[in-house]
Amino acid sequence: MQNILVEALNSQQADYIEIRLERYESTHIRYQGTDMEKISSSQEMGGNVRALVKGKWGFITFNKWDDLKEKVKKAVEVATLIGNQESYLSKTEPVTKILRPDCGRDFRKISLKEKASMLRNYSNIITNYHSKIQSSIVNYTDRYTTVYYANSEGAYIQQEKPFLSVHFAAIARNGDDVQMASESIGSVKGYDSAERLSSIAQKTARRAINLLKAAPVQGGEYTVILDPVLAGVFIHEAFGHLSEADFLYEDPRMQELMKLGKRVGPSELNVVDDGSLPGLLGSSEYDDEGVPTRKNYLIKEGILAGRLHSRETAARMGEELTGNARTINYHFKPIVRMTNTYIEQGKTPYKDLFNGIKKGIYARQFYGGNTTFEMYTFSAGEGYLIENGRITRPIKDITLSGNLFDTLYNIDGIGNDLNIVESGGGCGKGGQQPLPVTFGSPHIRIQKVIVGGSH
Amino acid sequence: MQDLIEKVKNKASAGELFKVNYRTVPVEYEMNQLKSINMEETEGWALRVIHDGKIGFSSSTSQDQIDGMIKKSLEVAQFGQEAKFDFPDKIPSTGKQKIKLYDDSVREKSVEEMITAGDEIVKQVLSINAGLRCDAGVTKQDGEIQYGNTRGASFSYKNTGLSYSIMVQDTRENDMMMLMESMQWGNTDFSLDDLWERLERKIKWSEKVVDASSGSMPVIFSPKALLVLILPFISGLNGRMVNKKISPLQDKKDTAVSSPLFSLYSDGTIDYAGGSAPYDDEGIPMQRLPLIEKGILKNYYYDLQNAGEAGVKTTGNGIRHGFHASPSPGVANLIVPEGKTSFDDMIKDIKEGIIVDQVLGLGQGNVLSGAFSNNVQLGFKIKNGKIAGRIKNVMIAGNAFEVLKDVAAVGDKARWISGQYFFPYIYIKSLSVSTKS
Repeated sequence: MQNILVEALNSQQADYIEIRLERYESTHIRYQGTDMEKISSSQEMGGNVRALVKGKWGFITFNKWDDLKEKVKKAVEVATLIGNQESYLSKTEPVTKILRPDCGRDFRKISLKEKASMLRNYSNIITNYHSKIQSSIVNYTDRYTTVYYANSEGAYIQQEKPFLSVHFAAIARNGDDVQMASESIGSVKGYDSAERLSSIAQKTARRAINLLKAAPVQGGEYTVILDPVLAGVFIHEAFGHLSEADFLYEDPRMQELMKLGKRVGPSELNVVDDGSLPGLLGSSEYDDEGVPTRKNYLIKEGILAGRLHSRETAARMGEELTGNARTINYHFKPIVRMTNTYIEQGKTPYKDLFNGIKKGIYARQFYGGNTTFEMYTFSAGEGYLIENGRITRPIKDITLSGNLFDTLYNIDGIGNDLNIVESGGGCGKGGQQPLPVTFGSPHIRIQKVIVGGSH
Repeated sequence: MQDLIEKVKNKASAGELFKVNYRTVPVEYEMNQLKSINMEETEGWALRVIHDGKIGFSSSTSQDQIDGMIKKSLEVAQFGQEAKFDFPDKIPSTGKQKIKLYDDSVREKSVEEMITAGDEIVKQVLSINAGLRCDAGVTKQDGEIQYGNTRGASFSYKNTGLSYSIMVQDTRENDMMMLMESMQWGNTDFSLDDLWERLERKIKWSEKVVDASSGSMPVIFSPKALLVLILPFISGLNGRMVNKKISPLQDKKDTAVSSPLFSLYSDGTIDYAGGSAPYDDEGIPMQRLPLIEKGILKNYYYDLQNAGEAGVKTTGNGIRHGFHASPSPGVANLIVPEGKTSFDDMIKDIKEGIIVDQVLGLGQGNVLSGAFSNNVQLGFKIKNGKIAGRIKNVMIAGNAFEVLKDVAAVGDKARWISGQYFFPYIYIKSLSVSTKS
C-alpha cells in the first residue's frame, strides 16, 4: 500500500499533499424494549486527497481507491485555482509506522448470537426494573477501521482502530409525563468493555424513575456543584472549544481575547488536553496529520497556558505543534479537535464543597452541551436541590448557561476525585460528529450560574 | 441494478436494493477569505432482506461487495425483527410523482461562478461594517437515488441542491455577536434579497447590548428558532414512539394538542424543496400529510414496518438517514402554514418581551417529554413596541406541548429554513425567561 500511495503523491507538485484511505467493517444492534429493532452489518471503503498550494486547500473525497493519481491531480488543480499567498505548515518529522493497538478480545470474532444475547439481557434489566419503565433502548455499535495515511513529506502511517459503544436509555412514564435517562460507554479496548455493564443498565433505569419524582427546576442564578461527568462536559464545551486555534488564528480580536499568559481563573485551576494517554477514546500516537500527540496544558494555575493546533494554525501563530488535527472519517478534512480533556485534581474532599451553600444545585450526568465561543450551555441528566449545605430533593430539566470567562473566575472549589469519562457519544464540530473524545474532572463548585426554568 | 437484484433473489426470500450516488462541491470562506474548494463523491449501497419472516440489513460503498452484503444481511436476519410488511410490488405513478427536483443549471455551475458568488457575499457583509468577520460557504450538489426489489418494483430519480451559508461575527472585549443565515434550494431560481435585508436589520439591532429581565413574558420565535418548539412534536408524532407507548401524544388523535392558530404538515411534494421526493426511501409515494390541523392532531407518521405493527397504512415517511441506516419514520419538509399577523405588528403589540432568533443547545435535554431549556444565542429585547437592543446571558425554558397551546399570533410570512422547514414567526403569550440577577 505504501508504494501505491507514494507513487500517487510523487506524480504531482504542490506545497503539501496527503492521501488518506480508510476501510471499515461495523455491526450495529438496537433493542427497543425487549424487541430487537435493528440489526445490521456493514462495510465501507473510502478516501481523500488534500493538497495545499500557495496557502489554499483543495480537497477531494471518494469511495473507489483506484486511479489515485487522477485524484491527486484534481486536488492540486483546484488548490492551484485559488492559491494566492504563502503556505504555512509547521515542520514535523515524517515517520513510517504501522500501529496495531492491543485491544483485548476482538469484537469481530464474537458471534452475533453472543452479542445479541448480552444486549437482550441489558434490555431485560432496564424493563424489569420498575412497573413505570415504559420502554428501553440498548444500542450497540462496533467498528473496526484501518487507515492508510501518507504525505508528500515522506510520512506513512498505517493504523488499526477498534471502536465500540453501548448506549442505554430508560423511558419512564406516568400519564403524560415521559422521562428519559441515558448512559453510554465507549471504548477502544475491545469486546471486554461491552460486557459486565449490568450495573449501568440498572443505574439508567433508576435515574429515569427518579426523574418522574423530580420537580422542574426554578429558573435563576445558583451556586452549582458539578459531578466529574458534568464538570468534564463543561470544561470540554465551554473552554476546550475556545482553545482550538482554528477559530482564532486569522482573527486578531479573538486572539486578544485568548492571549496566552492572561489570568482566566483561580490559581487552583489546571486544564489539560492529552492525546498521548494510553488506551483512551481520544488517544492516538499520531494525529491525522502525522504529528505526535502530547500532554498540553491549556490553563496552568489559572493562567492561559496553551492552545490546540493543526500544522497550519501552529505555523500561522508561531506556536509549537500539539498533535490535535483530527478527522472523524475520510469524508472530512482534519481540523483542530480535542482529545482527552480534563481539569486536574484539586485538594478539597468533594463533600466539603457543599459546605455553606444556602441554596444551590447539585448537577450530575449530562444530556448534551453546546457552545459558541464565550457562550456555553449544557444540560444535566439528573440534579438535586442543595439547601443549607445538604441535598434536599430531586429536580429536573436543568440547563446551565453562561459566559465562559465569568464562569471560570467563579470556580471556587475543586475536589480531589478526578474521574475521566469514556462516553459512547462524541464531540461535534464543523459537521464532524461524533468524534471519540474523553473528558473529566473532579467535582467542582461554581458561583452564579444561570439556570433556565419557570418562575 | 437488475442483475444484482437477481443475485439477491437467488439467496433471500425477498429483498430490496437502495443506491445513492452524489457529488458535492463546497467552496469555503473563512475570516473573509476564500479558504478551500472541496469535491466530494459518495456512493452507497444498502440491502434490506426479509428472510424466514425476519428483517436483515447490510450496507456498503460498492456494488462489488454485493455477495458480502447478501451474506451479511442473511446472517443478521436470523436475529432480526419480525417483518410486518412486504416490499411494494409496484411503484405507483400518479401526477404527484412529476415533482421537480433537478436543475441542470445547478449541476453545471462552475467553480468560478461559485467563487464569484462567495466573493460577493463577503464583500456585501464587509460593506455593512468593515470590522465584521465573515465565514461563508457556497455549495452545489447533485445526486441520484435508485431503488429496486425482488418483487419487480423499481424507481429512480435525480436531484440537485444549491446552498449559501453565511456566518457573521462581531468580537469586542468579552462580547461576541454571531449570526447565521443560509439559503438552500433545488434550483437556481431564488434571490438572496430577503436574506440581506434580515442580516442588515439584525446587525443594526445588535449594536447595543441591553439588560433583559427575568420572569414570564411574551416571546416571539423566529422561523429559525421555531424548531425548539417543533422538535418534541416531531418526536411525539413518530409512529415508532407511538407504537412503543412512549409518546406524550399517543391516544390524542382527533383531539386538541395545540392552539387552533397552529397547524403542521409533513409535505414531500413541493418542487425543489430539500425534503421532497417522488417516493420515500421504501418506494411509497410521498404526500402532504396533515400532522396537526388548527390545533387538532390528525395523523402520526409511519414507515412500512411501524405501520404494519400499528395495523395502519404507511404514510410514505420511510426515511433513511444516510445509506448506512435502514428506513425509519421521518418527516419530509415540515410546513407551518402562515397566519395573519405581520412581524412588525407582533413587536408593536409587546410592552416588554423578547425575540428569540437563534438558540444554543437545540435538541439537548429531554426532547421526548417536551421540555426545553435553551440559551438565547441571538435575541433581542422589545420595550414598548420597539426593539431596544440585543440581549445576552438569557435562557428560555418551558414545555413545548404546553407552550404551543399559548400562541398569540402566527406570522403572515413564512420562510424556508435549511431548504426543508417552511416556518413563520410565532408569538407566544408568555414564556419563562431567566437571566443574571
